[in-house]
Amino acid sequence: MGGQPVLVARPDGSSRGELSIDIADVVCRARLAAAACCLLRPEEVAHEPLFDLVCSDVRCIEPGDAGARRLRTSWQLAALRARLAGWSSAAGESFWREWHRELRRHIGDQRLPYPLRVRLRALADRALERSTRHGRRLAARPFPRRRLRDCRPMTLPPDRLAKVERLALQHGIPIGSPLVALQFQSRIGLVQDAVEALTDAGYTVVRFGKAGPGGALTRGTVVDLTTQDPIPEIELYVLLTAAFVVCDTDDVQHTTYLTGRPCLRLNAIEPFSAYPVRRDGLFTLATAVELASGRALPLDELHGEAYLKHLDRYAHRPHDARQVVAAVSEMIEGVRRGWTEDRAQADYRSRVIEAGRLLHPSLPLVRRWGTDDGFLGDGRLARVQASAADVSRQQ
Amino acid sequence: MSRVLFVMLHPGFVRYYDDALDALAAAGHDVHVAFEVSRTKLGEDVTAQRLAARSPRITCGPAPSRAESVRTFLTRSDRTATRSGGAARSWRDPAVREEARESLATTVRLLLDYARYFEPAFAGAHALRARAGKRLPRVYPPVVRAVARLGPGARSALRRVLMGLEHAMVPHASIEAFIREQRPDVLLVTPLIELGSQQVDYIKCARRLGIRSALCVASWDNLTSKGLIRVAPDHVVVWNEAQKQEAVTLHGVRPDQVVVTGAQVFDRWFAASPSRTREEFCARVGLDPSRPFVLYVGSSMFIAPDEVPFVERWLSAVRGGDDPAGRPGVLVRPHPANAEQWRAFDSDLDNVAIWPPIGTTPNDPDFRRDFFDSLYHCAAVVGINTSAQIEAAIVGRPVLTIRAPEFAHAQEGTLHFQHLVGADAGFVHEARSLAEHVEQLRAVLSDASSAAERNRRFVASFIRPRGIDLPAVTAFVDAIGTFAAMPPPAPVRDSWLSRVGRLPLPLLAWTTHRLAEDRPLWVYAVRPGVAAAVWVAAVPYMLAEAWHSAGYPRVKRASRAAYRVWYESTRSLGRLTRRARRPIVAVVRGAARRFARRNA
Repeated sequence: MGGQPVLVARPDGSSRGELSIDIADVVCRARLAAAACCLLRPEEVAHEPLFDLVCSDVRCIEPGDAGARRLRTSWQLAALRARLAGWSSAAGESFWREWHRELRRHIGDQRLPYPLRVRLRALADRALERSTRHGRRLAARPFPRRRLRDCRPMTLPPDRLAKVERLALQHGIPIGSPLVALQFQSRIGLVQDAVEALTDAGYTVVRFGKAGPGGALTRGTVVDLTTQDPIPEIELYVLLTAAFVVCDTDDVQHTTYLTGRPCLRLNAIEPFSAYPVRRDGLFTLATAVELASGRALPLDELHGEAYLKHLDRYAHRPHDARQVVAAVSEMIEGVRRGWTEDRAQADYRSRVIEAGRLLHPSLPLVRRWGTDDGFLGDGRLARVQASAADVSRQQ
Repeated sequence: MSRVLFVMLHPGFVRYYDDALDALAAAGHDVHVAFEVSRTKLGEDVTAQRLAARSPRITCGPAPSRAESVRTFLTRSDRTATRSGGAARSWRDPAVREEARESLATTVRLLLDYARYFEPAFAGAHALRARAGKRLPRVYPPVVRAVARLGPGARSALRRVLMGLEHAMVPHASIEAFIREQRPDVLLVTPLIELGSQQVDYIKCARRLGIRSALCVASWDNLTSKGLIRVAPDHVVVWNEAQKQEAVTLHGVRPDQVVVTGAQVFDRWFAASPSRTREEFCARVGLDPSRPFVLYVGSSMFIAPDEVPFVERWLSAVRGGDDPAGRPGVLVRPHPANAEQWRAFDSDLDNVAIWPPIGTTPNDPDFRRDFFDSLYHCAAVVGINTSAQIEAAIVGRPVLTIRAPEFAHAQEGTLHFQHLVGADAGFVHEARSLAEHVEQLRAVLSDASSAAERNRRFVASFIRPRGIDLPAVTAFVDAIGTFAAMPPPAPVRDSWLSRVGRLPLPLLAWTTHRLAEDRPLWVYAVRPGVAAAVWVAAVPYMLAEAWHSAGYPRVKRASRAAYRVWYESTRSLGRLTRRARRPIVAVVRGAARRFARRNA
């Protein structure tokens, strides 16, 4: 458009997290290709304010009617090609899998000569491998960790920002004072002490998202948006302007990759999808409890095959208030004095990378969320948990 | 007295009838309890052992094993398995034919059960319909849905065809032999209505042998949340008039076949007394005895697969009041078959406890005693949709429930929930939101007497419809005694129509047996070609094998023999030559010497 190439994309609107990752990814790709980008809005999220974000060094195009039709057509053609490729992979996967099973029926037939059965077994194994290969092509796109690390923060255009600011002010959010965005769906009592610590450190906590059990926060300086219907513009404003974000869902954590704010992810259930890409990210893991026995798993088992392969065999218990306070303190320290990493945190990252390397071929979860060409993330597990994991390993 | 054969699906059903079985034995009946499948998940094997030890008149044992159980049928249809399917087996193998016959029977029964959920009465039962559809191989549900969309006439025609097939199928001879061997005066079956249940074969055999049969409906949800009574027994024993209505309208049983006895499983609650004082009980479970507590009763896996997050929300609503003194204690009692999810439950609220410990089974010695004590000492009972709410009504505690979106499939989506909350006989205080529920809870905690009349009315109509003072076990035993004393029905002979109807069964059995593998249809299309190709590929291997096993040794033997002949013959010839050479040489030499002398 105007001599500049345009990258057209239709982000996945199934969740806000997926949408954020896709938008960030498209903007990064456009930057690398020195192109402009044009985001086609899926109908279900047509009014999502994330589409209004702009980037300083990549032109985002809102095409006019004629241009829009052309871009939409070219995107539809590309999407059709991708869909056909998907169907072909699905058909291939199904065919080779069934072929494998059909051959196996004959392997057990004692009437057939033994050398033929050996040959059939080899053929069946090869068919299963081909099925797996086709299946891998079907798997969701790997999480673009490297590109997200290099992603520059996006923001609202000044006029839009001013408008949203006025709206935020009407809802009691102090403009200009340091904010911490809090989204927490577990029992709110678990973050009460942390909120108090944040207030002591001079922050105003803005709680948003779905309210979890436990009612309202009773201590500290808090603006509670969970008591009213959610207003996406205000939530986005908080995510754009907060000193850092504390959350316990993937969606919010992934949105911070777009808004560029430091993020503390609480109660992640496994380290791959939650491992922070950027240096200003921290995360903590919930306690996994084996349903059959009631055993609480040590942290190092949460990147083991037995756990990741059968996540449904475990329930998760949120970590205690003490750990939340410790993680929030580490966050405050990082924001104010710069991000540092101790040996236990670096060791933990190495162990997760190593586990990812080993499990990549066999586990779809690791293929989706694992390392990107050996890179897992510059963020880290909160010190309080990394040290505990280190101690339990040494014992 | 008479002899009773009681066929149960698994030993877990003993707990519904243990008092009734004792009473039958005490009344002089000999009872043999046969279990179709064994189960140990909740300690059911212990129940069976205990039952046999209770009275010399009660015996237990397994029922004849099946060529293919429903469980095996379902396992075969696992599409994700890479090793299922097994070796190809010949249709000439009688075991394969028997398996195929069972496959056909199970398919027909599952289809009937699935098709029933398209009737108008089940319009909102989406989860029940999906559960029934999931059991079928994937080729069938779209067909049933398409037929169901055509209207009531098409549904009825489909049902008639399937029922015709069910009636045409002859049960396996081993079941008939088993019943003959037991020589019962009356055959009892429970639950019969599990999805795809094979127990219907017992009813069919009893009809063929002229033995009186009865279905004992085990629980309050059985007639509305599971499968159909496909072949009606002579009698159906139900708890109450509501169930009688269900048997008649939803299962097509004649009203005169239905006998109402009351809920024999709950008799024990009428006579029970607490085993501990309130203080002792609270100290045992970890609650504050000075404050009233609410008992939360957990529901089964189907009803509440993800119950913990809901309870966390419920707890925060119930305990979130401003006045700490007004906050009741909470005792959570997980459903024994859905308890594992509670391992992650970790409340930071005081005066909240889980009891009994997770992993406790209904067969543990103190299970019932603990349950009764929990009901007796609590101030109110809250649950989603579970039998424990009925038990609470018997003990006289106010019972409450909350409609929640995540449990819509188990509340609006089931017919039996209406027994709890129905406008006429329902006894449960129903709330549409947590706020409304908290208000209701506050009201019943301050004045429990308002619930007493509703509970009493419910118990009188639903649990003991024959009189609040008449134990249901007594009515149950009287009913069975009456059945046993009645003259046996005339054996049902095969009509020519059912004989004709049996002609296509082998072909159908063959087809359903294969379709039960739940493979894509193209697999069945290419299978003969693949089998032929495999056998063609086998020919060179077979020839090679035949050559190695038979041809090559013979040729080797022949060549060795030929060599031997040649070798021996050449050696003999050599010897002969050597032997013959000496006289010739002598003659030649003599002649030469003579010639030399003559010339000299």
